[in-house]
Amino acid sequence: MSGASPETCLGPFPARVRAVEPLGGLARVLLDPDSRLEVGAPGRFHMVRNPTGRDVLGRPVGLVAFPEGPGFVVDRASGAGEMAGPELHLVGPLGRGFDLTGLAPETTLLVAAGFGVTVMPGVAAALPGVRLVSGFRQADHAALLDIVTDAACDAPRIAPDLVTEPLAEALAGGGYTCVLAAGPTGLGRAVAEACAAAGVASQIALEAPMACGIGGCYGCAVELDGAWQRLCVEGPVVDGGRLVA
Amino acid sequence: MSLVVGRLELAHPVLNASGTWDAVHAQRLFGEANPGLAGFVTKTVTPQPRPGNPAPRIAPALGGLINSIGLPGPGIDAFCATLLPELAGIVEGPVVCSVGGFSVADYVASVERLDAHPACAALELNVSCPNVESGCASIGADATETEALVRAARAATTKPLWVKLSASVSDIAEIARAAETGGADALVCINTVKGTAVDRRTGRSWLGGGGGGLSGPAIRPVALHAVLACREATDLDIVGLGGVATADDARDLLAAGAQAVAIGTMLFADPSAARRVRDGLAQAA
Repeated sequence: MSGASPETCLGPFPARVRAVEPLGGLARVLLDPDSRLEVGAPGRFHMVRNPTGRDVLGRPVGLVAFPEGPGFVVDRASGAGEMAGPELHLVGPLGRGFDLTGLAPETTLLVAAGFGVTVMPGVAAALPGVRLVSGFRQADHAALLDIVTDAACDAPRIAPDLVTEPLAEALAGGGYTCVLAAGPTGLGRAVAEACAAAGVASQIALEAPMACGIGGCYGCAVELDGAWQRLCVEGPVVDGGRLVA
Repeated sequence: MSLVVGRLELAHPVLNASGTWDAVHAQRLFGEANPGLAGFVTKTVTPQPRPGNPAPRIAPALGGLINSIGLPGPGIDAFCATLLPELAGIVEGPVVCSVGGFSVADYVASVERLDAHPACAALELNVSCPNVESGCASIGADATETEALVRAARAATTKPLWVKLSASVSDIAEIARAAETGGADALVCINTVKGTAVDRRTGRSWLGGGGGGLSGPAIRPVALHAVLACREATDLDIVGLGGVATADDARDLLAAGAQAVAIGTMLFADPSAARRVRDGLAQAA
């Protein structure tokens, strides 16, 4: 048997749902702060499941250390009912998060789209005052910016405007040495390519459907280094260079 | 609770379904490669490396999951050289190697390699994966082809030889009898049931690989029917699987005629599922 220390315990760990609150067009699920939860490094994720709910499988969420305690954000229409509890089961923290070693808020740019914003509170807490540019498909999802209290948030871009527009302006202006981004795969590739062209380092937190989050299902495949690979094992945060063909 | 299933000795009757658990990653995450499992059934190994199907590979379904993974893997050479020895070093209990291919010659070549490999305790012929274009499920849908394949594999190994069947066939009992005649030691019932999710904009499958397979509690009654049918049709031992989530689900499969059970989709939902089912069965004993 291997002597390596495990990254996490088997779980799942129960967590009582304290409240489900509206957050714009989304919902914030607050968990009992006494439960055995580790939020984990920014970019890492948990698989969360309602054992008495309708869904057989859990879903990946990024836990947020809200002032009231740990919790996460879900789509109000598709997730708030399922995640209302009374008790949820969580496995995590899982995956690779952002490597913030040596980064400074003045020379780091955060880029997030949609639910990608939920990754950023922990990043901003480690890099207070860091600039965040964001984009949303729906205007009422921009309320997500309220949870990123430690960042300097630009006014959000709402579709059809794209978050890659302020990114391009920021890269052209110079002064940034690293971009940390989170969002759908299309955004991730666009950010990685823009950063590569500008000679700026990037780390991208990607999104993919996941059945297990622990490497078993092979469902969360994304193209990295030109090959289909499991995002839960390789990421969800990957070096931007792995997305550039 | 120790038992012998298809000539393979197991400490208890709970295994994983092939392709539902990564023992190497689990060891890293949890400090245990196969918690609650009596052994470990590998992901299906194919002759050549395979990238798997393009995304999206999974879609939620009521009572389960539809997948179109497409057997990604390192191929038999890297599997035997690297992965299998690593598994043997971390797994509790025997390693059962799941074998896939696209022709009888494919299967036999891999079976010969695994027969000679000391880390492989038993073989499971996957003749039922619905997510690849040829071979596999098309062989397992035809009794004559199944018998010929099992007979050829039987000649290539003295190790326990299991055959994993699909319920997406016209008569699973006929396929089961063919596997028995060919020399199988046990049947594994069932693989996922053919299904898909549709992209309303295009009218085509939403899954990147096209076809898919439904798993989870939604197929539990299908699995029970298959186990009953195979029990009546053959004298072979049976590993029953299909939507096992609780010890009671396992008891139903055992009552229907299975000697052991395997857990698949519920390992995605709950990594402690095997331990729960194993302990639940022990309490009843």
